[in-house]
Amino acid sequence: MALLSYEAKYRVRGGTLVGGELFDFWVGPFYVGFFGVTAAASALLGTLLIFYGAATGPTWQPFAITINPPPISRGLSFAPLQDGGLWQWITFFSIIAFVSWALRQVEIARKLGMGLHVPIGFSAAIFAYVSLVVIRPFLLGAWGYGFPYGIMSHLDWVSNTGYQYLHFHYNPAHMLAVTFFFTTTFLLAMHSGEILASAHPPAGGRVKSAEHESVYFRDTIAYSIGELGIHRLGFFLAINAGVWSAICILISGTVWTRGWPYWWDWYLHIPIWSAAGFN
Amino acid sequence: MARYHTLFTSFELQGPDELGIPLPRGSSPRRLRPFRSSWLGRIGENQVGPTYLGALGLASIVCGFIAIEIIGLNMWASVDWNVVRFIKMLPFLALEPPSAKQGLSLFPPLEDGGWWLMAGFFLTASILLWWVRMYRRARALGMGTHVCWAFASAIWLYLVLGFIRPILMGSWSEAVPFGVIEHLNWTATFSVRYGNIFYNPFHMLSIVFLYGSTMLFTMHGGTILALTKFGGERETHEITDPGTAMERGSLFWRWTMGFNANFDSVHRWLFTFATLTTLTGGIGILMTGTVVDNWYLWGVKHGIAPQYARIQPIPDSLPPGIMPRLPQLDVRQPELAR
Amino acid sequence: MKSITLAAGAALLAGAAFVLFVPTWEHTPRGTEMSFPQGIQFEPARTWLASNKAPAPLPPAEAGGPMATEAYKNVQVLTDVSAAEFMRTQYAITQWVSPREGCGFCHEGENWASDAKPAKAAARIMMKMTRHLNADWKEHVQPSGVTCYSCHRGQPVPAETWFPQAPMPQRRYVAKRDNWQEAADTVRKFFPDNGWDEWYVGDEPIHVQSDTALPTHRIGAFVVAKRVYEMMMQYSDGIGVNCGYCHNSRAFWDWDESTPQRWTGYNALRLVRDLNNNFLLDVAAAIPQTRQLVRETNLPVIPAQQRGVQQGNGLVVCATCHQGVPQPLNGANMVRDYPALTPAAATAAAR
Repeated sequence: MALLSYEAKYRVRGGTLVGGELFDFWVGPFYVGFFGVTAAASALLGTLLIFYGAATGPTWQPFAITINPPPISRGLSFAPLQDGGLWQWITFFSIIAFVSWALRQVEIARKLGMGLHVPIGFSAAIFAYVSLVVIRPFLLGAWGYGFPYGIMSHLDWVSNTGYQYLHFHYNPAHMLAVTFFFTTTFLLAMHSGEILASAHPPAGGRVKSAEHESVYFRDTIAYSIGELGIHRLGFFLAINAGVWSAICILISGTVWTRGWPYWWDWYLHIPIWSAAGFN
Repeated sequence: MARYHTLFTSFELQGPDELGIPLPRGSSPRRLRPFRSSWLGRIGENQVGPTYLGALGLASIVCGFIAIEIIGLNMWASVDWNVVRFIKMLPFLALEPPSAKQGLSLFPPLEDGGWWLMAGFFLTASILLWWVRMYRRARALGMGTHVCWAFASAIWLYLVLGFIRPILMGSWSEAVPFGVIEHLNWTATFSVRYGNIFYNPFHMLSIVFLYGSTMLFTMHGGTILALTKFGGERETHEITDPGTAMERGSLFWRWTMGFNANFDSVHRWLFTFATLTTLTGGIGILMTGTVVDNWYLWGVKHGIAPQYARIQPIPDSLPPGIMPRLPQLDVRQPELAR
Repeated sequence: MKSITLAAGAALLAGAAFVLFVPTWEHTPRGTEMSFPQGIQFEPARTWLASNKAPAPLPPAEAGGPMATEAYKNVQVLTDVSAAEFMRTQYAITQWVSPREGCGFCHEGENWASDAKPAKAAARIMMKMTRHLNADWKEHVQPSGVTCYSCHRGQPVPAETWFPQAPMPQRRYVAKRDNWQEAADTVRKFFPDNGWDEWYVGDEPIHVQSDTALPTHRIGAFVVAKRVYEMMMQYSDGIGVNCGYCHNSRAFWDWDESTPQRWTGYNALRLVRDLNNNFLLDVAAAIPQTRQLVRETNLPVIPAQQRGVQQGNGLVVCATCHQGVPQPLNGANMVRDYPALTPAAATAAAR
């Protein structure tokens, strides 16, 4: 595959974390590296196991295929393949694949002299995934608390897990996570729209730059956070969306077992209300 | 010592205020004397203002203020104008839409949704005026109007929830109440009433784009922050005059996943994902109750619902009339081998 | 810079301390497997009364002897038991319902036959209700059965009752409002509960989800779905479980995907209707102001704003008897020791 016009001078040796020069090469556009090998191998194994599970299951309807975790009664033990063992192996390989992918991003960033922001951001997503399928099941004492791998079945799991706490919208960490998701998307729309508006002015106009971008948001909402600031803010909010999603499920069932609405009892007990003469 | 200069600005620039580029003739002058905040300066620009008010902005703010006042005063009135009670109950208070018997009446009694309709009118007016203002400000600066169209996508969802869908359903009572907890309760009830919103394919798409937007902002924000030492944050410069920042950023993703956007096209991806979040969400809401009444059954009909092992037999003695006679859906397959 | 760091650090610590110590967090209960998708049964987070344990039975009465109707005057309900069993049951009821007030809670002075006190009329209705439950609602109450203690737990008024609410006063020109129970000290009781009488007294179908994929006919109003949600939360709290105990939340209506517990729960709703219509409303008529009979300050007193159309006693809901556990008193069988509370058993014992 042809290199990009400027690519050759960036394809230099070094920057690897593991394996020295052994895997320090490219295949087509892909950088390989030690973690490329582990990522590809584990992703392949995990995917094949999913296909194996689907083949032994009742349906090939893609939405209805599901690989279920072991029943709760198996606790934290290893399960037979057809009774959640597949799920355990797929979980194992997927975590290897995700972590390898993040570490491979580290190697690529080091090669290109870039900061490690992307792999750090990605680790927030990995943390959320590991929380769901490892940390929380471990804390609750059974792999069966992990979510099933299937398009509709994981939605059924989310629904049922939510209703185990009667009304999940009342989970304070869930509130925060949703707010972070919405705010991130909101800012993303503003930022991307602004860059496109600046780079693609009306026919015949001149391409604009930072000054116009700042003035547009100052004119409309009195403040423009600036070129660097919007990326800091967006990065911060997006990572928080992942982290608070992880927290909201980690605290469910471990430190709170009743309906989430009742967590708010403390709000009714704030002494201010009685001090102010209202019960 | 590590210095997190990509995350925080460690020295603050002070200089003459940026008063903005000249506006076209006929524009009113910019308002709000600029001031600086070193707190804001740590992550972004430290200057606040000046800003453009103009007739549209003023009208929008006035309408928005009226809407908030209608909502807030009704909430306060509903706790007998007791200040402490108002503060305590604020999360739970709501301005509810008219009850079902009012249908689509434009002038229901004030105490039965009249105020809600009025608040909705002024809030919508405020938002639409703000949209026009965003559009005109972009044009006044000779820029594209992309931000406005992203905003329009959000307005679409808002209008579907409070205006278009209630009209199609023939009743304002289908709309969302104004209130912190009450809109959460409405959301949960909405999902239950229409048979599990997770089975709504447009809800699925909307969630995909919401999560996708968040993922893309991590990817994009992370890339730009990782490139600050090469001037990567100067995005429009990198679009028109690509430098090493653009090259490194592109190669990072090319080497990672075999494909890369560039400084221009990445913003198209971001824009598409962000706007499709509310666009598809609005479509999903609009279809609920109007053309699909039970999303789970819709999913069963189209074969997407997974089969689970049956739990235990249900007693045969279910008396008549305890449940609607559900159609016997011939979708169940032999129990999963477990 | 330093002061900012310090301030931010202090704010962070204060925030963390608030989150850790102000709300009441709970430790993990061990979940029990319910169904797929797996559900956790709730451990009752706090016992609503001092204990969910049944008291020890009184020593058994001597067999034989005259019937209660022969030994005592004005016996109307326990007509099928011996005089000894009758007296034993009376003692037990006093322990269960009015241990502090004693016999005088229902009886006028030394004249045991007198019907002067309204509470005595109420007690007769309650006794009939208990016998009705043990005889005609076996599917729901077997094997443990029901005694007065199942609900009363040593108090004249059970801890958990429900009052049909008067509608919130609607003032002209002010938007309607939901009746959050502002006086409640827990969010469990804070949710609106008006509209429940359609199901706890009336027999409206709980039918809020459409039974067809596409809209063909109108299902109930949106607000009804909201009320059902709130009522179902009462169900859950009352028996200390979550939605997954009975339902697969992906299709709440679908009996095929529900657990067998749902049938028990459905049956219980008919039971509650039966009790409220045929007994509790009569009790309310018999003693319109129970609160005035209750002298103890620690007993539940109904705040004025919660008094609705029914001025006296509350009605029963799931929580009245279950008090936060799936099997009241954790399944202890008390009725075995008190044959007078089961009509068939009483007749057999008297023979």
